[in-house]
Amino acid sequence: MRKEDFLRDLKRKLPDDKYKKRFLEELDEHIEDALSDQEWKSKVLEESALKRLGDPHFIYIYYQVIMHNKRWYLYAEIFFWSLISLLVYTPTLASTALIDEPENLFIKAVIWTLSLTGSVGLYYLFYTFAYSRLKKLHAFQESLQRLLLNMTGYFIPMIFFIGWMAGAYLLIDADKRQDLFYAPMGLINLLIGFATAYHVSKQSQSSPWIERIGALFILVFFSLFLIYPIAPMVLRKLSFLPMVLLGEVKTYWLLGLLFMGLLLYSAYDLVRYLRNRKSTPTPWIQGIIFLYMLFIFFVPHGTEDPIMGTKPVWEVEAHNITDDLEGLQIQPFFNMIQYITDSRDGLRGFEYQIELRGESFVLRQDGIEPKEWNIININAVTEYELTSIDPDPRPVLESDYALPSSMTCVQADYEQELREQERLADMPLVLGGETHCTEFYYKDQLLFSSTEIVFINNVLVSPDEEWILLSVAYSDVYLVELK
Amino acid sequence: MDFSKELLKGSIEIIVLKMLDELDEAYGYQLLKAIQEESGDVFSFQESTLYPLLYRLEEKDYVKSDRKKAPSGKERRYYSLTTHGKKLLIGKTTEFKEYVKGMENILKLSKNA
Repeated sequence: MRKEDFLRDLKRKLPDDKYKKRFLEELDEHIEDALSDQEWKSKVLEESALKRLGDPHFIYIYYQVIMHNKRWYLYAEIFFWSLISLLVYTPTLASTALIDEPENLFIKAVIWTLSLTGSVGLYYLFYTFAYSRLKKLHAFQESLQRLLLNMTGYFIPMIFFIGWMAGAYLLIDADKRQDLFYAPMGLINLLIGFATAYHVSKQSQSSPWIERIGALFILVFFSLFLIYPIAPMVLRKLSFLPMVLLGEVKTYWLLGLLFMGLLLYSAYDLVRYLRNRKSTPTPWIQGIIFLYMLFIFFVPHGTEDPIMGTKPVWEVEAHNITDDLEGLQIQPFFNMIQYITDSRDGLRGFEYQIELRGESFVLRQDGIEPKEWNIININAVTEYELTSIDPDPRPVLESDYALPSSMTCVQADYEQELREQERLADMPLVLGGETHCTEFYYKDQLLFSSTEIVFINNVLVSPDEEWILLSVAYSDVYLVELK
Repeated sequence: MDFSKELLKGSIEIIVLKMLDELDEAYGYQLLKAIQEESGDVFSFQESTLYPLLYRLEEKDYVKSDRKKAPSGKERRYYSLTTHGKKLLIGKTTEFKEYVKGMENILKLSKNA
């Protein structure tokens, strides 16, 4: 076989990729060097040189194995598992959220984002499983991670974009237009994703710089977009984990454990890397996952919580705002920003912190002296079994609360009702949750503001402003007296 | 001597890395000749397999390449180690030495000892 035939044969066999041209060129040069080498000055030199290079079919097989075949097998497996995880994850979250709040369009919008983004965690886990099953292919670990990163850089922006565009569409008539902010952000994200994908597609291999930029990109955008819908649900600061482990949030124990699992697994990988830096490739993916999970667990966040309750948007007429009323707008157990519409000053933001101290708790609010509140009676009650602060309590009867309310129940989803009751604006205010609110009257005194779907953190102010009734975490109701 | 594929497969990467480290930079043919010479012709393999291996190492940023004029006056693609590659070589060398030491100990075993 002559050199030209050899190269032609090989050219025909090799797949069209970035290295093909270069490989053929270098083989050509290799033969040329071999022929000009002193050692090879004989009449059979060309044939010998070609023989030493190997049979074209062998070269083709070797090239495929090194550069293509096994890697694609791994990728295909990852893709398959990620699809499965998506299919499993979506209905789980969707069904739960829809049971909790069947009519809430915002939640429906968020479900999709949650479902799709949540699948990323499982995607990563399944990737790990897939890889561990094929760990003998050690040589491909880095390229596998690289491709995963690139794929993530491509898919994540699309996922968020679709999620938030769906959200924007569903919310177009709702009172949550600030969320539309995320749609253009999603678009930017998408463009960056496409740019990354384009760049990657132009190079069959990516440089470490691309990996690092990709990692940074995912870290920033992934966190920014993923934390918005998920963080408050998981957050509840550290109290969430015991709640999950104790089964108080049964529906989400899997999610909580998944997050914890990812956090621990990533931490383990990072520690392993730090202990053996010389021979272990930098675990970029694990680093990203680790930082992201830390972000999820520890960064305070105060936006909508689609799963465990929604931040109420308190809207009170300016002339009705007193220090006490502002102080009474409480969101226990996590920091939040509340907005009070003030007709004179526009939107004002307040941040509240609650610190429990045995039989009392301290409320801290920006710009206001901390206030200590005494819990005089704690009743874990169901929706209709209230215990009154009346000296001679009796169960609340339907006739008690069937009386017309003299209070204004202000809620984000309750605008119509609010307008109807504006004539009562000079009466003391009652602050309610974000869903439909029902005022319970008992012996001419408003006792409890109930919601159809129980949201946490509803606050009811008594007409004399001496006590509040605080609904916390679905089932616990606190009667709280101001010291 | 012809080694089994499995034996060579596990060490080919370290051989290439080490030789590149020794030579500072080399093009394919030059590298191959150096490996054969330095190993006393012990390591001989299908020469074409060197290139995909180099591409893979380059893909992992262990090796970089650049086209330059060779002493012959012709342009060749020269390969050299990157910082990552040097780190990898150190790690692999340690690993391999331990392996060889272990193997030596095992092979030294004798029934009569």
